[in-house]
Order: sequence, then C-alpha cells, then structure tokens
Amino acid sequence: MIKLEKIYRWYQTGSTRNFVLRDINLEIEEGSFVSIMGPSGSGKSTLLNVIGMLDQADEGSYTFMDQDVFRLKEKQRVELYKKHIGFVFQAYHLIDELTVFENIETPLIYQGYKGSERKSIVSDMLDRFQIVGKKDLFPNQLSGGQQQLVGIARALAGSPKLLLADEPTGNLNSRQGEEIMDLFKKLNEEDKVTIIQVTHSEKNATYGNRIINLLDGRIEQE
Amino acid sequence: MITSIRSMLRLFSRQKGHTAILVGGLALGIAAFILIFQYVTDEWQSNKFHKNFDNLHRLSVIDAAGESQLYLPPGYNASIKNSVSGIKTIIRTTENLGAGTIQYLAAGSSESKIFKEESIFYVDKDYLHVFTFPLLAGHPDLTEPHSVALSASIAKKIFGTSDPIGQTLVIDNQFGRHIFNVKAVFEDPPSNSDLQPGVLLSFSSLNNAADRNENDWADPNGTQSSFCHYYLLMDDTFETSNLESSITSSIQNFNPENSDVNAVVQPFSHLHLAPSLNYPHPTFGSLKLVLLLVFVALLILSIAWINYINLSTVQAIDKAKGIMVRKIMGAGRKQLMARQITESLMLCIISSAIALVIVQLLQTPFNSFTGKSLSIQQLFSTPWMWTLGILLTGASILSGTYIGIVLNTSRPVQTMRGMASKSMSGLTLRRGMVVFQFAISVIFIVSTLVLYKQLHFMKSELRGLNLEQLLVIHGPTNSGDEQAGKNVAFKSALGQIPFVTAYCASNNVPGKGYNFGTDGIKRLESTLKDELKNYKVFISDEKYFDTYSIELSEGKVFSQEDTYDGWGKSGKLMVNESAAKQLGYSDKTPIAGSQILWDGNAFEITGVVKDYNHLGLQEAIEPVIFVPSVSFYYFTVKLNTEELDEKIAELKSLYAEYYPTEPFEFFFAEENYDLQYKQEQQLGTVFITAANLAILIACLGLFGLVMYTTKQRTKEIGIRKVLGASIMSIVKMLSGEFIRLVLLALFIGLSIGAYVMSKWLENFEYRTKIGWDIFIISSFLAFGIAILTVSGQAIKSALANPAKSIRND
Repeated sequence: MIKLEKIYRWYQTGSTRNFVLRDINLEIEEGSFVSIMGPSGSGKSTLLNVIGMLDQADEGSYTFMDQDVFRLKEKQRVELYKKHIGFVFQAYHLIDELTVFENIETPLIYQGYKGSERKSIVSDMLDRFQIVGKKDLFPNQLSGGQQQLVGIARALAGSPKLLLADEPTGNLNSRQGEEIMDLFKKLNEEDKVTIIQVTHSEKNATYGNRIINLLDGRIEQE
Repeated sequence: MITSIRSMLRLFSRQKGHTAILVGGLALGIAAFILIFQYVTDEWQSNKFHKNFDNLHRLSVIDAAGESQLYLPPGYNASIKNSVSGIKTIIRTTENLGAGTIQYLAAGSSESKIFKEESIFYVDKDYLHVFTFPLLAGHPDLTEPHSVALSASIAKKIFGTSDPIGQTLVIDNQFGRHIFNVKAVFEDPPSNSDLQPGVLLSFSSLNNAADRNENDWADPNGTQSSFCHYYLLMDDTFETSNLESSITSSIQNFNPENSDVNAVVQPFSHLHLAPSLNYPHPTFGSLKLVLLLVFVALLILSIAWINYINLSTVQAIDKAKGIMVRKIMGAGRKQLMARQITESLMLCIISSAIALVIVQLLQTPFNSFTGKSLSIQQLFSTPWMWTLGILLTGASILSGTYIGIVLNTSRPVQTMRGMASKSMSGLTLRRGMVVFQFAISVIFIVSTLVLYKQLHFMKSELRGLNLEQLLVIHGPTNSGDEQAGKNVAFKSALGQIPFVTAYCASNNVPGKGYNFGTDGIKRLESTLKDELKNYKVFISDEKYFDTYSIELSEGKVFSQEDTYDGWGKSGKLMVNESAAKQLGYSDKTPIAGSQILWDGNAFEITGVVKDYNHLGLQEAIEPVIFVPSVSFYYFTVKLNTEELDEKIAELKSLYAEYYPTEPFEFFFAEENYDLQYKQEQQLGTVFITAANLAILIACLGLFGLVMYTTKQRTKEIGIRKVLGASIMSIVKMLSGEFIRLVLLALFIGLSIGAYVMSKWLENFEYRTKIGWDIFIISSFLAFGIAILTVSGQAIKSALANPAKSIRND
C-alpha cells in the first residue's frame, strides 16, 4: 500500500542543512497497524505528514496505492488523500463553531456526498461511537476523550483505507487513552483499516503489529 | 451553504467584541459615505424634474468688460424671438423684484393677515407651462395684469384650508400697493430646484406706467435697465451651434452700444453644476465642492474598508486553525475562497443594514444642515443606487478575496503547529494601510484647523468698519415719494430715542450687497475709454459712515440736504479709494472737490472713503460709488445690547406708529454679515465630522494591528518577562514600531494637508497663514490619540501572566 524510498527532508538554515528525515525506506502493507516511536525531534511527525501528503519530501519517492505521489499534481494529490486517508490529531483539531454532527459531516461535504447520504453516514458514525446524545453539542462542551472520539469518527466518516494518528492519546488520561487504543485495535482487526500512529508510549505501541523506531531522522530498528 | 452561513453566524457571535469593532467601523464608514452620496447625487439630479429639461436654456451675456451678466433688459424679448429660429418660448423672470408685503383680508372678517415675502417674482405668462411646478388648483396662464400664482406653502399660510382661487391679495412693494387675483396654486419647488418661486406675478402688471410707482426703469418693454433673467424653451429640432451667434447678432442689431456684447446660452444641464472645472459661466451649484465631497466620501469609505481588511486578517489568526482543519479534510482552494467571500459579503450586508439605520437617525439633522430634503427612498429611486450597490458589493468581494488569499497561502502543517502568524503574509501591506489611514486622518485634521483659522481670521480681521451693537430694521420696500417722506420721519424719530447712540438709513447694508452696478463713469479730463470700467453703487444717507465707523481718507461726507435732494439733483457723490484709483487719480492730486462724468452728467466728489470690507473677505474690495438719497430700505441703530427685549419692543411700537400695515423685522448687522461665511462654516462642519470619523476608524485599524502583533509575540513577551524584562521596557518595545509608523503618516499627512490647504486659501482675497501652530496642534492630536490606542494594548499584554502565555502553545 505504501512504499517510501530514499526519503530525505531537510530545512535550510543559512548554508547548512538540518536533516529531519534521512534515507527513509519503508513499506507498509494494507491491513497493518504500525506504531512510529522515537524521542522528541526524531522526525516522527514529519514522517507521518509526508505519508499523509500534508508535507513533501525534498528527495526520494513515495508510492501510495500504486501512484507516484510526488509526481501528482496538487489537485490529484488532494483527491487521493481525501478519498483514502483519515487524520486524527493529538489536539483533536475540531472546528469550534461547528456541532459534533457538523464536524463529522465536514469531510463528507468536501468529498461531494449528497445531503441525505451525509446524514445517514453521520448517524451511523454517531451510533457506532455511542455519541448520538452529543450530536448537537459544541466541542468545548465535551471532555477530551469525547472530543477525540468525535475526531476519530470524523476521520472515519469517509471510510478511508488508511488512518493516520499523531499521538492520539497524548492529551488524554490513561483510562481514556486505553479506550481509544482499544477502538483502534478493533478498527484494524474488524474493519481492516490500515493504521499508522505516532506515539511516545511503549504500551500504546504494543497495540499494533509493527513498531518503527526513529532516531535523528533515521529508522533505527523495527 | 446554509450550514456554512450558520457556522459563520456562530463564529461572529463567538467573537462578539471583535465582530462588533469590525462591523461598527465599516457601518460608520458606509453611513458617512451614503450621507455624502445622497447629497452629491441630489446635486447631480438638480433641475432634472423639469419635463422640458433637455430643451431649456438660460441666456446671459458677456459684456464689453468681459464680465458675465445674468441680467438683461426686458425689451430684448421680442427682437430675439423674431430673429432667432428654434425658440418656442422665452420666459423672463425677475427674481425677488416684487419683494414686499402680502396682505389678505378675509371676506366678512375685519382681521387681516399680513407678512413680508422676499420671493415675489414678476414672470412671463407661460412660466408655469415651461417649468414643471405642477398645478394644484386654478389655471396656469398669467396673462392678465395683476394675476398671481402661489406656491402651496404660501397659499396655505394665507388661506389655510379654504380655496384660494378667485380670492384677492394686496401686495405692497416698490411698485406701490396693488390688488392681485389668485389664479393658480402650484406645488412647492423641490429643494434641488434652482428656481424657487414662491409668489408669481404677471409681468404685464407693470405695463401701465401708473402701476410702476415712478419706477419707469421697470417697464416690461424697456431696453435701458437690466433686471430680467431670460430662459429659452427650444424646439426639439433646434441647432445649438448657431444659437449663440444668432442671439448675439440680434442683441447687437438692437442697440449699437451692444457691439461688444456676446450672448451665452447655458443648457439646463450646465445650470447647476458646471460640466468641467474651468467652465467660465456662472452656475448655481459648485462643481468644486461636489468633487471635494466625492473625494472625502471615497477616502472615508476606503479607510473604513482598509480597516475592515486589517481587522479581518487579525481575526484570521484565530480562524487559521479551523481553515487548516478544513484543508486537511479536503476542502479545496475554491471552496475556502468562496467561504471567505461569503463571509465578507455577509459582514458587508450586516454593516450596510446598520449603516442604513444610522443614516435614518442622522437624516433629519443632516437635512437641516444641508438645507436639502434628502431621504434613502429618494436615493433608491435613482439609478445612482446601482452605483452604490456595485461599489459596496465589489469592495466586499475584493476584501474577501484578499483575506482568502492571505489564509490560503499559508501551509497547513506549519499552521497546525501554531506557527500561523509567521506564515501569514502581508504584514508590510498592513503597515502600509495603517500609515495610509493615519495620513488621511492627519490631512483631515490639518484641513479642519486651517479652515477654522481662516474663518476666525475672516471674522476678526474685518477691516474699515465696525458692526458691533448695530441693529438693522428692515423697512418697507415701497419707494414712492410719499413713502420717502414717511421714511425720513421715521428715521428722525429713531434719533429721538435715548438708547440709540447712532443711527442711519440706507438702501442696502454691508454683507448683503450694493444697490446696482454701473459703467459710463470717467474723469472730466479723461480721454481714455474709462467709461467701460465697472463700479458698484451704494445708496445711503449722510449718517451711514459715522454709524458704521467707516473713515474717510479725504474730504467730507455729502450733506443732509444732498440726501434729501438725491444724487441726481444735488450732483454730489463719494468714491472709495479703489474707485479713485480706477478713475485714474494719483495719490498726490486732491480728489475731494473734483468732478467726474456719469452718463454725461457732471458730479462732484465730496470725499474719499477708506477701503473697507463691504462684503466678506473672500472678495477683494471693489470700486464703489456712494450716492445720497432718501430711498431707504434699511434703518440701522447703534445700541447697547443690555435689556435688549425692552429696547426692541420700543423700536417695534415706534415702527408700528409710522408703518401700521408693515410687519416689524430686524436683524443684527454682525450676524447678517457672518451669513456670508455660511459655506465655509458648513465645510468646516463637514471636515470636523470627517476628521473625527477618519481618526476613529484609523484608531480601530491601529488597534487591530497592535492586537495582531502582540498576539503574535505573546510567547516572546512571556519569555522576556520570565527573563526579567520590566513592564515598561516591554511596552516600549511594543509601541516603538507603531510610533515610527505614525511618525511616517504624520509626515505624509502634514505635507499633503499643507499643500492642499494652501491651494484652498488661494480662493480668499484676504487669508491667514498655515503657521507652525497648525503643524504642532495636528501632530500633537494625531500622535496623542495614536499613543493612547497603542499603549493600552501594549500594557495589557505586558501585564499578562507569563506562565500562561508560554504554556499556551
């Protein structure tokens, strides 16, 4: 599903290059649950953003579902990730002025679903995550765990093949964190969603079936 | 769409304070713009209500001296009509010629209504056919002598609700006391009409010499005195090109003296506002003023909009997160742009709605200030409304697009990491906008200060006469012999009143004007063509000069006997210094006692009057001839203004003794004189308002920019405080940048303002200087306001708890 070859990413400061990613070669199969680990500044988030097409590499090539991502035009790239990739963030990143229902609906609008379709999909999601009663509330009326549930529901609304999560439990207490990780495991096993998560926690990493360790922008070990 | 509008409304209400500043600033700007726009469109719509607008023209002439003369002798009428093709109707009007009193004695009642009226015109019979003042009752023809047509408001004043048609009125004016039959009532002229008829009398009423009260100059067929305006109604097929030349030849053929006179035909479309700035002929309105107002309106609107953009991009930092999340969810550029433009349009609609409310609230005071009857409904009934709509919509789309671009060009990942501020472009542009806004505010401040300095200068620098404590009684306008006797008697009775310290009578007063203009005057020994030069003539008694504290530079005032005899019989007159110079007297030769020729008759100059400002300081002092006569309209008394009410009551009862049928009217010479500065006063008010508005909006803009940068530097400020920076040093750091911007704006504003106002001052013959005081006060004002705006915000962020601002990542 994902194939990264010789990926380099750097920032130019004056005449020196500060490398964030060096020579990343990585293949991820469909249906896997990967955890990316490593200390702060090791390039975890950058790698996730490159995979999620929010950021571009300076060198190397990236194939996603048989398409050469770096050669695609901006528009085609947006189409590609819009259709296949969902994002979950540490800080949830819900839109404050939208209700729970509308937040989950947003990606569907951009994917061009009709109103009635959107409604049934969102209702399904609300059901599945048991947040029907919260659908008219605004993000600031929810606890952190609930907000992250909405964030995940939103990421899954367009039924993506790949779910990218950047420290999804980072802002949650341990009980809420466990619930979210259980949910991820279930999604991976039952719904066959490929998941890549960035995490600091050894424990969370064990939920997945593959761990990638990054140090100074290099893959240390698997 | 509905979802997005709903979410926008939620966004607005979540950021109440911010949205209020945003919308408030824009609404104020739009309201000011609409008000000025109303005024300007009304000026442009002037006179267009006449059905014959396209075929109507005003005739005037350029005389031998090259001066424009709007008054022509009535007798040219027939010869122009006969010799020039294409003219359908000629209408002669004599505005305010019939000013006097109107008296109505209701049948079966002993009580009579009597009042003074200025706007009494003698007009040709087809006046109400040619001009569109719709009839409310009666018949429009004013053919028969002693016919009268009344405007609706005057008819109501006299007759109340009863039917005026067929009733009779007694009108008492310089042509004596005559009975007139009411033939018609017409709608009041709209405020944007340059012709403002109140009472129309048939011109034929003056046909008979017995009806002219010895004023034979007013013969409707006379060719000597110029006192008529000529309006021409042309055929649809007339040719403009030949019109002026054929009228010119008709006038020249009529009288060989007219060989240097040229006709000018102004179409009605050029009557109110000139078609260009260098249009040489007189107009009722001022194109310069209208263009100035358009400029002011556009400036205010543009700073309001700049402000809006400025504050919106500040707000955009808050919104950036939401926008980036949407981007990651797959929103395209077009969708985000459309959203931003919709939001901008919505804010524009809300602001416009509020602006309309503000306009409604201000309409009444604005109308009384401008003397127009403007309304929103009226504006919306003209095609100008579309200009307004397009302007507002265009501006909101443009600003929405700009804000959209600023937001869209930022990269999602960086924004998500809280680096929103760094990735936002356009800080330089925003700084430029603030400089622009402040520079405009400074220009307004400078203009206002210079304007008021000039006004003060004109009021305080009045030269050569003293108007203090002078009360002027407006006497009867009848000028027959019998009346003159009464006037003399009344005048001497005024002199008997103990509290009157000085008194005089004259035919006009300073600030109102002269009596007439003349040429045909030269020195006895002059061989030059001096008789082509123009002089103003002023009629008064011998006490006028003392009462108004006007000094002589030579000789003495004509005597009391001369006043009784009149200038024709006594052969005496006086000249002012300008007139003496124009007559060709050098400084050394004695003037008093020498003789001049006026239309071939010899007159002795008894004295030379020192030049004084008979009219406002806009104008240079003109050459004036002072002639003695008992034809008095105004009685001036000098009195101490203590216990004024009782003194006025005494004057009133004395007046009633002498003129039982005349209403008592008076004014103070100084107030009356200052009426000449009404336009400058009004301009001053416009500029003060504009300056306040500009400063207010510019401060909002500055406030926005400060908010933006301090927000951007919240973390930096926190770190500096943790490292031990004092509050003062942080305030200094934050304010410093803005102070530099304001200084730049000050420099630009002062230079442009000073340049523009020095040009404006050139309109005045007597003018003040743009001194250092103006620069210092403007700088102080603009700078002080800016510092107040900036430091408040800076102090607030300097006081913020650093622990909070650092953690808040």
